[in-house]
Amino acid sequence: MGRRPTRDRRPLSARDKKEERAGFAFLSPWLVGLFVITIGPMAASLYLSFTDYSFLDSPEWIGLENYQRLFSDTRFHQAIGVTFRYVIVSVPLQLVVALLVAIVLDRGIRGLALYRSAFYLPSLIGGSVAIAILWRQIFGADGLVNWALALIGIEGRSWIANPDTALGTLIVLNVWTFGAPMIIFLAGLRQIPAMYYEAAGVDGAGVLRRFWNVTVPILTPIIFFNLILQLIGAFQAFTQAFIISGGSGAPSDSTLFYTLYLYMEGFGNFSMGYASAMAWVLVVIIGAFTLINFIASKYWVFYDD
Amino acid sequence: MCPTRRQVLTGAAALAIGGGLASCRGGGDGDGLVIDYGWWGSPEKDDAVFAAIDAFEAATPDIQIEGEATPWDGYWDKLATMSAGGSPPDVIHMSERYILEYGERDALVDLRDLDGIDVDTLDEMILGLGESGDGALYAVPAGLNTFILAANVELFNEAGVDLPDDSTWTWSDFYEISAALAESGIVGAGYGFGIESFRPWLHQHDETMYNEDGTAAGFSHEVLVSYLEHLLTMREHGGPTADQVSEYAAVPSEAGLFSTGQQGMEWVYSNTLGERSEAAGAEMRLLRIPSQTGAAADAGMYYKGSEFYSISAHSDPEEQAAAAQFVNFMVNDSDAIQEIGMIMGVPPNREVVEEISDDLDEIDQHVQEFVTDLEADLTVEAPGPSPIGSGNIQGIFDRDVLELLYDRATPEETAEKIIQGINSELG
Amino acid sequence: MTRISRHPVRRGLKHVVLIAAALVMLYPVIWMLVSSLRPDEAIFRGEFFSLSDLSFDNYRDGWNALRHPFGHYVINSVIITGGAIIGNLVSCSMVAYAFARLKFRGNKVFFAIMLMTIMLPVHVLLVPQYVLFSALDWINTPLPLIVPKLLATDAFFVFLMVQFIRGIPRELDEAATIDGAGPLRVFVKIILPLTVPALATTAIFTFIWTWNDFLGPLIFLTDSDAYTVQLALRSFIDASGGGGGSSWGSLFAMSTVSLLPIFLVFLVGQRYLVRGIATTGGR
Repeated sequence: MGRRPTRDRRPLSARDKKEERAGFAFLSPWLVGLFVITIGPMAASLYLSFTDYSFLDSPEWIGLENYQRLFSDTRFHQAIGVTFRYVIVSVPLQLVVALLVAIVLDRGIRGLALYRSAFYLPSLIGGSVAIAILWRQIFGADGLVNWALALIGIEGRSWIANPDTALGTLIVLNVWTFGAPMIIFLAGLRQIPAMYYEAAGVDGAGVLRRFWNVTVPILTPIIFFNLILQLIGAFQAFTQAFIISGGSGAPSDSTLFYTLYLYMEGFGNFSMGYASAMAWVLVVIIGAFTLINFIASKYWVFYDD
Repeated sequence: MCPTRRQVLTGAAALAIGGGLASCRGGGDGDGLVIDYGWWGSPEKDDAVFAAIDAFEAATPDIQIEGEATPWDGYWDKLATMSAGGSPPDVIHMSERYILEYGERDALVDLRDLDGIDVDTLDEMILGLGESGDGALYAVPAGLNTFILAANVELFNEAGVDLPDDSTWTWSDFYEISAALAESGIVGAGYGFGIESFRPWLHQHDETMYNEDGTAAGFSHEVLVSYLEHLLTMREHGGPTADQVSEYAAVPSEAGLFSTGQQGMEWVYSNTLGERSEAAGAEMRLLRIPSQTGAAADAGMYYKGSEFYSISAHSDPEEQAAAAQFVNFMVNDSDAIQEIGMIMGVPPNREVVEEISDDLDEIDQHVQEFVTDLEADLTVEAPGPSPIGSGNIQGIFDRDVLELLYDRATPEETAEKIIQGINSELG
Repeated sequence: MTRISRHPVRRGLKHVVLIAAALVMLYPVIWMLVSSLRPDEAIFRGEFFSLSDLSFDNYRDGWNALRHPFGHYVINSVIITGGAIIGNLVSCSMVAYAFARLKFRGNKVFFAIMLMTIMLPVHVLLVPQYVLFSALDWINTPLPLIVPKLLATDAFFVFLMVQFIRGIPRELDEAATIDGAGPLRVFVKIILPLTVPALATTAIFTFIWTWNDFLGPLIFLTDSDAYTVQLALRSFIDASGGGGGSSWGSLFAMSTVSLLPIFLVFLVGQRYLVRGIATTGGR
């Protein structure tokens, strides 16, 4: 991650030792949490992924069988396809929207607090049970979208029902809840010292140039953060698909997200061992994507340290 | 007694978790036994059940019932997790779908082994709904219902269509009526596709859903194809479009076409007629399923346990005995049924039903009479609990039949996919 | 960007666009609000734009529909949420400071492990967590929902704050160190004040996520007296297709009620988002 003074092999100086002690002291809550709360259940799930486990019987060791089964499970392949499409489209889209809105709502207009709250509100109900109904008010046959299309003489269809467009409505739903990254961008924008803008202003830079040359570079750690987090979040997308499809990935498995399928196998079908295997494969997938991004970040993310 | 399988998670897990000891729940706190009872519910049902619990506690002061109402979304996740941890509630509200999943994995007791429950008050056929193939009674029905047709009487009137004589009608009558309803600009009849409406069709063709051991589909490719073609015929006779089916598949029934007065007939669980009628603001009637022959006895209808009571095998004998007393009260005591009424379906104990039937409102009375009268037309053996691994089978129907309705697959292809899917889930 | 646009027409146009966008964004919320004022049976049948027969009955009924008045569940949620916020603010900022600024062996490895902990889907952790917490005898208490936050298990926020702290010019703490300040002093005097936006973000998000969490309270709270708002809301819906039916009016009304605190917290909290370096004047 980023630039860091290369550690040399000399014995630690007294100052370094002191810093190391301080480091572990500050790290201690997390270390305790890791060993007391986090590692146990994680190790348990890793272990279960090599077993046949139904909640009610003792786990039975079956080696790599669960992992092998993934290769021939066509619904699993469908779930991977759906999830990748979702990640690739919705993550960049949501980030761009969030960044643009954050810049508009950064400063300079009256009623900022209200606008921000209004744009954030959807994120508050994005995971509520009511969303199953609300989303049909927009993308159903009698929804808002078709009402608007009818105004310009186009006859719509039920976007949420059709297997070709159902995933699209979930992508829109994800973009609609852009509030979280927007907030983080807003906080990030506030960290940009005004003097940078003043310096750029003196140089007579235009709005766009200033955006590219000042705002974006300084914001890159935050953009990077949002990217990683949205990536992890999108790979694990569950709640909205669960609520809107009634927990089935309907219509016709077109919204069968990875974790939704994992959940159906684990809890619906009492195959917790198989679900655990899926979970660890997902960790590898997300981990690989994250690693690639961390490596790539050396070329476009600028830290001040 | 703590669960003997306390090392639920062995190896690395147990090491990290310190033996995976599950804490025991329940047990007395000095004055009397505390029994946990978990169910899923709605506000109305929760009120009724809590009132029945109060009645039980008044009658049995030495046993206290700790009620745990959980929303349906999450009830099964929670039950599975608690069971894995060795501490499920003593009395478990069960669904037909999960009886064998839990029972055959030794999580539920055979209720006949407990003295506290008098099951002789119930018919053999009713007890069969909660029995395993080997005759272990893992659950007793809390109520009976049946998956059947419902008609919106007002839409029939508006369309100028007569209600059918449901004891003699055939499928071709059904198609005609649905088409006639559709003439008036509404949807005629829904498909109700899936396990519950496929079963009568199978019975009409002398086949069954699962094979004897519940390890594979019990029906032939041809009959499934005929059922799928029958669905397509329904579509031509006023059935909803694929878009409509899909759009309303995941919304609660109150928001569906039938409950909002845009569809003349629908497949429903009999105990939901009241809320649908209320939602649509219209009078509704239950109708028997059409047959091939014109005799209701040939329609292959059957009773279903809408909800069940089970007792956890994790509880110690003393708790199980008290739990049995409570379940007995809920099933056989008119004080309990007085409170619960028809909310979980028609109570299984006939005598008790008669005691309360005069207090029911009009629509509940209709449902109760209909379900009770239906017995004369039940000629096939009621299907027992769903086999292990069948949890996703309704999902297979939902997915593959939708493809059929979207004309993306032929009945032949769809039948092949469904049978393959079922066999791989069960196998 | 730093000045209010001097052109009145352009400024007006900006507001028109923003308001229009906000209305589209908020359409579902508005729909919910209107539905919460309608009788159950009219919600899915009525013409949306006919605003007759509105009443507050659903609010009264919904408030009283469950075992306890709805306020009871709000209080439960507030307790858990409050504990989680404090836990996350304290623990995540400390840990983030260590990762971002202090040199110690295994820094990168620990950071990678931390990120990995948020990559595993929570569903496969529920059973082992339940076993763990029931061994600790924490089931049916708020502890499983609060203590992990005190131990910085929400790696999301650690990562967030690491990114923000790394955005603070290093000269600031180096200057303080040269003046003889130890890590604790640097953390409290320099880093914390400069990460107020990140802390506000953490507080807001922790609030919303804990408030909206369904799975955690579902599994770890068995007694319905201890239920949180989300569990209470789901109790209005009977998705089993069985008897009793759902109370949509109550659901929408109480959803609106439960949105109010979050909305207010946000409205207040977002002020702190704007108190960054720029407004405190930096160095």
